[in-house]
Amino acid sequence: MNWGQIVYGTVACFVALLGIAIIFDVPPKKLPWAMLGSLISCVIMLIGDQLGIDPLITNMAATALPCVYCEIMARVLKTPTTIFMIPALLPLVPGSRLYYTMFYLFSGEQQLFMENMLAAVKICTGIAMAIIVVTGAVRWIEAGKRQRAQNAR
Amino acid sequence: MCYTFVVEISFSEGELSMTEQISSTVLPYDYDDVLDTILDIGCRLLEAGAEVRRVEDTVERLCFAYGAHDVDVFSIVVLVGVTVEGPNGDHYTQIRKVGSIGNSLVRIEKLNALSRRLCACPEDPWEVKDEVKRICAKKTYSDFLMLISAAIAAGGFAMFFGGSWTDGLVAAIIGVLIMVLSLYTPAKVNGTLKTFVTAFVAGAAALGACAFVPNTSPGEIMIGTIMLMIPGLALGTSLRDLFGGDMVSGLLRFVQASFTAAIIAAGYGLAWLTFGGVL
Repeated sequence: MNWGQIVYGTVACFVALLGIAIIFDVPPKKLPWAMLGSLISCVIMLIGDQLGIDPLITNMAATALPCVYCEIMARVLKTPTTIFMIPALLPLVPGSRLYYTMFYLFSGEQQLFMENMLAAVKICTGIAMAIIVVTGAVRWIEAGKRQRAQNAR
Repeated sequence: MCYTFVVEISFSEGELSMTEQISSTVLPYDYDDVLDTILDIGCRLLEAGAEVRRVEDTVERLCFAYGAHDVDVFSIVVLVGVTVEGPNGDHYTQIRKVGSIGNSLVRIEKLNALSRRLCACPEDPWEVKDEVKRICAKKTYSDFLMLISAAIAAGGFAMFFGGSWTDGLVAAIIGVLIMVLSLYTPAKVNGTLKTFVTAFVAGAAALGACAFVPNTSPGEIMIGTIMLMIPGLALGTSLRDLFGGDMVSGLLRFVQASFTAAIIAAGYGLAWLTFGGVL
């Protein structure tokens, strides 16, 4: 594993996400907590890449863990989940895949175009699946809690 | 004038019959005003980029907090409609259309905190209306800070996706350019056109810079700057809407985000087709 590359990537990503968080108007007081979430997803992504794990799995893990963190923080700090979710999920956006999809479309290289597009779709599927699982689990637990509270009344 | 007269009569009749039947508190406000204020909050939430589920939930809770017996809310991406059975048994309906959808997480947070407070203890609707206005008028970060953050975001992403230091620097400068375009274009300009022009300018600037600055590659610079424009919040919200069961809103937002992404690709692509061969 190339630790230098992981550190370099993490620092670059952290700086970039600080900028993104400010552009998306994350409340100043919640900024450190939001950044911690994005740090988690960023580090998981980079380590997964270095170990050569399938991008689908890496992206699922890099989405699911920060999502759990976001749901917990949202409840602890009593704020909407979205505030932590957006900065945490942004490093996963397959920017380079999307760019090369566009690039090869315009330069007319069918094979590479398909390859990059499918890779991008795969990554997005991984992210979406992880969001479904976590959000679904949270709603399930909440519904159970509400029902128990009603029964107790 | 006639309208208010009718409302007043029905209000007082209801109050008379209710005092004996139901012990719930009858509010001293006209419920039309209350509903107006509640929809204001819902509307502003949508404008700030909140999920439909959150908006519906907030409006419903607020209506109940203000003494409603029954609430039916319906919201899609650009519209909130609600019919309420008020404390006196009358039905009130209001529909509100939302102009433009931006992304301001701090507004979502503040409006959410406000609605939590109101649910615990309802306040005078007119004062609340003023507070909503104040929340939405306030800028969290100054324009200068926005420019700086656009620079570090574009530069950081360019380096994160494998660019060199020089790539990062060039991407940072183009990031500022993108932010200037998004901050200082007139609000009435068509959103799609704005996105297309911004993407084209960013793409052309990246290709131009690569022709003159040594040790740069247009790919990494463009990737860094694209990350600024990708409709991340809209895509995330659309997924949360879809899996929350709001199919219509989820799909609408998904199509909207995909379309924006396609427009961005078209802008960069056109720049590449125009200048890619020349430089």
